[in-house]
Amino acid sequence: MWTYDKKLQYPVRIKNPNPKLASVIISQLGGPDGEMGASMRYLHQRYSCPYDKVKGILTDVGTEELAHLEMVAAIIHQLTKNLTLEQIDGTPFAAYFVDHTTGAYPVAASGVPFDMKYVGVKGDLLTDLNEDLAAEQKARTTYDNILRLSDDPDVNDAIKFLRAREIVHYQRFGDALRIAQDQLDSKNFYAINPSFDKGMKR
Amino acid sequence: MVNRMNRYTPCNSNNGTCGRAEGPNNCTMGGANAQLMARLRKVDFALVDTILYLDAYPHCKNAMEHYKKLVAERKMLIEKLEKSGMPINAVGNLSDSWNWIDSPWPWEYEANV
Repeated sequence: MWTYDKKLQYPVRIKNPNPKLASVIISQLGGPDGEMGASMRYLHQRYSCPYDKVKGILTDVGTEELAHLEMVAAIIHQLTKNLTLEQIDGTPFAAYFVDHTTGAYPVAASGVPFDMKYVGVKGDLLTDLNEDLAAEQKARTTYDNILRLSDDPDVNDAIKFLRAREIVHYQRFGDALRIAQDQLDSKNFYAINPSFDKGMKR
Repeated sequence: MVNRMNRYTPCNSNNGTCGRAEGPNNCTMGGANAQLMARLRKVDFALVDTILYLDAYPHCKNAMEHYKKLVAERKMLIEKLEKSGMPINAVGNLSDSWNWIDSPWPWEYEANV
């Protein structure tokens, strides 16, 4: 189960509304490499994981991603608060506004709603961990692109924190992959699924 | 449409319960609690990172010592915040009034200043 801490993991304090910027940052809420997908990916990969250290990493990274989901939603909320219609009309945010007003709906910047297709749960620890390593790098790239598009220091402060966490998670998933490979049977040098193929120990 | 931009008016309440109606939220967090909260965020961030490290290296004595120190400080900070009427968890509402629901909520600007 989960309990809620009534605070953000890292503060989000954005002084100036900017609907145009919100319409690109929304991708980290519900886009292909966003925090919704990240949290769902790791938390659902746990169940077929055979090793305690890796169960811990998947649980704790997955939980931290939920905190990042909340931070991204806070950025969207603060960027779109108290907007006038003049500030919305003619910006890319108008297309979002017509469907969701200023609610925080998980959707990609391209307008595609969040889809569990972004999330790999293969039931094979080695496959899943390689997916996770790639996912952290894809999220880091997306934050890099957001930083390329944003010139608001308030926004960039929070985005830089989130970007740095992708790098730390990549390191921990690297540890997880090494831990998993160390546990493999010495004859299992093709790295067959340690969650399923018990017969490989012959 | 009126642009209601006067959203950063400070408030002297130290627990977010002043009940002032104007503005998008009733008030910001007071000075003492804001400092406690800022420290709690830092301690909790250090904890998140230490916990992830311990998951991968559970026998690291230095990390374990660091973890214990952080947990003790976290406990102390949360108790102080709870006693001032600002529960961090829904189970930390010590007062007879239900302060858990008081603004500002974490995603609001006022909770982060």
